[in-house]
Amino acid sequence: MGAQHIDEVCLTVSDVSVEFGGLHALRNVSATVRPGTVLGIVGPNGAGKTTLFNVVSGVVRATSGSVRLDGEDVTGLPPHLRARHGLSRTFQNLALNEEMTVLENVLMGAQRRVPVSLGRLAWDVVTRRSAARELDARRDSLRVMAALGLLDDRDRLISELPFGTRRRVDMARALSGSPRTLLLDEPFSGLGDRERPLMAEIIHAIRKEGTVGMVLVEHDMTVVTELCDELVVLNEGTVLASGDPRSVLADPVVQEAYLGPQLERRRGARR
Amino acid sequence: MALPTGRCEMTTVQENVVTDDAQAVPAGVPLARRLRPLIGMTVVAAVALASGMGGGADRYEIFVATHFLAFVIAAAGLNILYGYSGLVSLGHGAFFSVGAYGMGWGLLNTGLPFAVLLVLVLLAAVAIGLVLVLPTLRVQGHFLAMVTVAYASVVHVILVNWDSVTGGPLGLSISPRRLETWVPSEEVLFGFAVVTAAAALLFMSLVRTSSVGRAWRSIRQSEVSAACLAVPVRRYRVLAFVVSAVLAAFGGVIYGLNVGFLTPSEYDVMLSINLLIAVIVGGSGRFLGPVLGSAIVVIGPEFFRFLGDHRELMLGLILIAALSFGRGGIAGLLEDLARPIISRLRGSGRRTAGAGAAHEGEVA
Repeated sequence: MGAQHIDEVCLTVSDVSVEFGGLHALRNVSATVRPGTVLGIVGPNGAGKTTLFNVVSGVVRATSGSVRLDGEDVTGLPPHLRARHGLSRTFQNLALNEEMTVLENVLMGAQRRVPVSLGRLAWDVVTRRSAARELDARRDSLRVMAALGLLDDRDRLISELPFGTRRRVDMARALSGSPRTLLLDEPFSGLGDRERPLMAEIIHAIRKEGTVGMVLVEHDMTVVTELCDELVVLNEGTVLASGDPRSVLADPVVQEAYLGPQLERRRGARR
Repeated sequence: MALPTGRCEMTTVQENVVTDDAQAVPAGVPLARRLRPLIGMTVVAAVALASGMGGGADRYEIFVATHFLAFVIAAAGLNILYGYSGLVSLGHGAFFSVGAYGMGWGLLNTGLPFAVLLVLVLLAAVAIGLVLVLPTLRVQGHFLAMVTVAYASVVHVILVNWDSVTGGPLGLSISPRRLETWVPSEEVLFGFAVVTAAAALLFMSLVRTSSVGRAWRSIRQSEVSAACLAVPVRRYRVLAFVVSAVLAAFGGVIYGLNVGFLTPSEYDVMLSINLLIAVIVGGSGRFLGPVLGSAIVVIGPEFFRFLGDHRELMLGLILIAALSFGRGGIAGLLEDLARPIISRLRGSGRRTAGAGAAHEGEVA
């Protein structure tokens, strides 16, 4: 299935710059993501990883440059319309609704199928189309929940669940509603030793399906080299290096910028 | 198709899941189950109605009951706005006034039948709501409360000063003769109020689990993450405001007809505050919240009549007590009390089914 999408691109970031009152959070950043691949974003704190995610999802507007989803220019669109172009994301802080059940949270992923126009929505209620859509959304959500092992908890409130399970709920929500581009914001943070391989396996499975392109922000270098097809190293808002994970991480420039302070400290200790 | 389906080779994940379960789980929640709380409520209402009619309730009791139901209708709307969407409004008394005065003025000055007037009044509430919601869209929390409290006081000032329409400080008296054509007795108005309140609560509870209700509840959590989840936040804020405005106006219509005499002093900022108190004390976001809250705000003072002028004090004490229970108010407190019982019943049911017995034992 992956082969037919090989020259398709689901996310293109071209020459994006973001300025916050003179401060360059991002400077001429470009990247592309193909379906069935994982693009890793690494860099020290304040390198612009979060800003890049926010520019792609539409929470922060780019000062210059453009963002394309599935070939369509979405640079001027607000977040809720970008989600309708197949963009989906997980949140580092989960952003799950604690007063909702697991199923209800996962159903939020299907919100992109609901028409934006309230008039259309009202008409759909009258013609029972919204009821059919709700049923589809439930089937879709339950399918994703089954794949992620969440069915037993479907009617539990989020506040009753351990953290690792909440991460999977966040993931299930991002996966329901058939996304094309998936942004994963540190999906491994806070997970225990037993839950980490499970998350890696989930990401592997999505990659194997070949229809969803992923962007992964992660600090753990072993996870990054294991999961990513391509790596972008950000430093102070600029792309320091990009390409195959192993060769990028072996690049002396990257080691200098990323591990520089540590190396210097180690050298200092040796002296 | 674009998702990791059952055919993914996720061995460790799959071990936890019997894939066939996905088909075994019914996709939709049966309507009967969603209607269950409502059936119970209708029974309560029917009993109240029967005891009101047959049990020889005096006119004052019916008056208070109708007053209570008018508050329930308005509080149900405010529960959608505050309880679901997290938007504070200290100005919904304005729409309550629009309902009461709109219907009163219409009955006195036009020959239109009641049903037509009702539709017109509710449409007016939609129009006024659409205008008043626009300045609120950029603010949240305390600032939203301040903008809306301004609405309540502006409407109060208009009621006092627009003599030709509102009768000024003296108010409007809905002449009994005009009223009698459509509302022949207190019992009829009471019945109308029961049906309307039940419909408002039905709407409130059904919308909660719909896609619209979920969108509202996600806005309450965070507008930014709601937007990332494809919710057009501003549109849904407008929708919540207008829906709550219509229900507040409906409550006002019934309230005005019940009193039969409209004086501006009753439609001041305190009315808006009482409506919000009803939602918060009763339990915001909960089904029983508007009902319990309205009971405390409207019927509560009747029990503290012996305190004379100090009975407002009791309302204050109840408010403080309810707020110390947390966000769930009284309904939330009842829920917390009932939860262990319900989960025990569920747990025993599961054990007889044989599933998860070992896990249950581990926990216990």
